[in-house]
Amino acid sequence: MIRALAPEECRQAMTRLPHGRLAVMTDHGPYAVPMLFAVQPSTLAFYTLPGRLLSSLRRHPLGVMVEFDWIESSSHWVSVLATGEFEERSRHELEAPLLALFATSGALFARIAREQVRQPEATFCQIMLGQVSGRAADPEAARRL
Amino acid sequence: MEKLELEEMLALLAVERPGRLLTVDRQRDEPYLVPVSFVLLAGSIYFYTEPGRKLTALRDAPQRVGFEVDGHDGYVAWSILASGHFAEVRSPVERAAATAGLLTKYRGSAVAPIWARSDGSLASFVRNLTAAEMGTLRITRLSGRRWR
Repeated sequence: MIRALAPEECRQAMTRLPHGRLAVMTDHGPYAVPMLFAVQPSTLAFYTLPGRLLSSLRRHPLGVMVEFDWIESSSHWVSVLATGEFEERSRHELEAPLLALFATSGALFARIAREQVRQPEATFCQIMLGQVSGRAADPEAARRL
Repeated sequence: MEKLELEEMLALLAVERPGRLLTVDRQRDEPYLVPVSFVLLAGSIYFYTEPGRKLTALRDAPQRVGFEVDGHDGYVAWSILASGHFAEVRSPVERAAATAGLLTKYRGSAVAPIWARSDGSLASFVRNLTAAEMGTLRITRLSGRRWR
């Protein structure tokens, strides 16, 4: 049975899943990359290095989408979608929560991120969350992440 | 970070599941990204979808479609992004070949898509398939990266 997740369940899923995907419009179509996010009450914080993602986010800051999923089997899965607006923040504001995330995450992406986030060209960003929705394939799936 | 070679990307797309279909929701002017079960055949990605926001977005902007797959094995992480154009699969021959490919890829898998599950009867299986639309992404661009 597929059911909708409550807002708090969506937030918990985003916190517990090792990484999500950030999707943004570009001049040539949609673009998406895997991303580690520090989940805060109304924002998702992340960093990125100069490149296609950052230039696209700056050019199309509205209507950014984030996706998280966990699929154990056909009857045990969770999927969360969130839309929001992109904005750049200072290293001073976001480096600490991101380093805390990378320090506790066992994901391979976290090890890579720990090295990259200290680079001078790292840009600190956040998604101001708007609509957040999620579905799960069984009543307990979101709680078992 | 390293770029993935074409052969490496094709090998990963052959086995990895699920992928994330990336479309443009023109009504909201924003990207829309959802996980799907898929199979790669002859340079195209095939998937089933039911009517809804995803199919509407695909039909509204068929030339602006992407497909993202990522994963890691504990030592290496990788990400692939394909882009191309969407088409609905109407040809019975193509549809049968893609369905066979999907069934082969997901046979015995715990993550077999819902449409591939049935109560064991042929009627149930056919009913699931005919209720869904088959779509394909004709890949025109493929890029991938790997992190160690």
